Amino acid sequence: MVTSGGVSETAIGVCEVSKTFDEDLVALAPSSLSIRRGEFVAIVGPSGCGKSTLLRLIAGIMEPTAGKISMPADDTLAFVFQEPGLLPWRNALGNAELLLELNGVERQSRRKTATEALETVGLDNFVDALPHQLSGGMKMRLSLARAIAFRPSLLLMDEPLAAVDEITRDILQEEISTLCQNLSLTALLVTHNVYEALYLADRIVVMSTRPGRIIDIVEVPFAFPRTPDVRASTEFTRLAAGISASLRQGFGERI
Amino acid sequence: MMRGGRSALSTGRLGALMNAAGPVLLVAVAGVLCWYLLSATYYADRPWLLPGPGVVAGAALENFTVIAQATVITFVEALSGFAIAAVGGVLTAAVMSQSPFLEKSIYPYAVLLQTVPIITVAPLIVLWFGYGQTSVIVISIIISLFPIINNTLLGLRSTPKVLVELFDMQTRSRAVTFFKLRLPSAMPQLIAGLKISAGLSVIGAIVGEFLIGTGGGRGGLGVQIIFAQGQMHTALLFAEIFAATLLGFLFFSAVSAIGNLVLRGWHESAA
Repeated sequence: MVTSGGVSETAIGVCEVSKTFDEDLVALAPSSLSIRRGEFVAIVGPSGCGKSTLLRLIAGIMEPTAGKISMPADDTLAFVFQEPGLLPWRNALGNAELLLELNGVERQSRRKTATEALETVGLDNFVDALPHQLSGGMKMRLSLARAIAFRPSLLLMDEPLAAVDEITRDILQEEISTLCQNLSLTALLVTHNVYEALYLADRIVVMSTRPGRIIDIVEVPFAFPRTPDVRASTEFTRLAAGISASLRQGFGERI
Repeated sequence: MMRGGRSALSTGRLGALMNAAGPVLLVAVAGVLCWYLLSATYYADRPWLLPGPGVVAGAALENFTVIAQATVITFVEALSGFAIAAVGGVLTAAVMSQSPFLEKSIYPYAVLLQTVPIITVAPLIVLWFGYGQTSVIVISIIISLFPIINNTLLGLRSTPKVLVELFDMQTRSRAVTFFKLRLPSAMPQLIAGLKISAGLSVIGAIVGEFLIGTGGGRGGLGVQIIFAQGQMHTALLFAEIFAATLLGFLFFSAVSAIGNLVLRGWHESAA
């Protein structure tokens, strides 16, 4: 589905897109963004900056008030929510194959794909486990497995690691990074964690509130595959400080 | 992990059973004892008001066939009423869940069905369905319908938003979302409604039998209770009250057990 050659090809085009709720509540002021194929883009910002709104607009969960979002017609996207969003009555395999099932993929083939996806996220020993038998981190892995079993070209993630503990978060960040590299996914991650954004992304979109808008776009220079050592480098710290400063500035203007 | 004060009985399966059933049995023994003492002292000269436990047990044994047959009749009526109410209630809730308009137009009538005193409509029901089991079943349906409608509707409306969004992104089919997401999500509430209605359906059947009286010929527990009352056979009356209570309890337990099987492993209520 994803051609390895077209790195500079645009996967998602967001052109002057805005979203207004209830006539006058501007969740997102007109914003533009172009995401290249195979790129990992993180969106950081404080609560209420419209980052989730932007992601939901791209996912088609909601319609923009104005502007246009374009992506190739044959692209498929999978969405990972902040909560794992698993069906509690289905075991891991049943959950992993859900998106394929809803799209009419025939049983045997979806079983196979879902099993592979569970292996990819390291849940191959928990195929028959029900969600309540899994830890918070494992539930998130299962949620990821469900997304990648769908073989999407775009992976949209809305603060997927906000609810897991620090250690699990570090490990899952590494796994998400590897996963997106290996599957050549175009990924869009919403997070409020600057370090998470820096570790995972090629580019970071910095947003601010009232109205929600893009205030900065930062290129992250570290090469892939990234190792946890990146987090300890001076460049990492410098970039984190810079982004934190933009966030504060965006916030300060309004206080 | 045993605490010092506990006997060796509290380990093992028998011990676990004793721990669970112990308090209940204790209350039962104390209750029967009080009953016995009261019947043997204050009511000793008026046994028709409060016969002792032994006399009641005697009456139960003596009339075992009559009580058993009546219990079976009442059970069949209650089960029929329950089954029809379950199917009808879930269907009604499913229809209502499809649109706010449908819900607003149907729900008030479901509430009315619940609030109308059944005694007042019973003559009408008898007029329509005759002095027979049909009327009894209809009354049982009316009494057990509302908890099923109400709880199922609550369940169908409480599907987690994140799952609804997940499904919306993949399918436009309302039927797929209903059967693969909303209905299974509603199972805990649906089963809670069925559990309430299981007991109610037995009450409904007995109330129905009361109202129809002996006109129905072969009678269930309600009819037998009226007979016993008419004959001032208080011991038999007690035995039949126990039979009715036991029937309701067993029916509720059966529905609970099936519910637990369905929910086992994914819902806290079936732990």
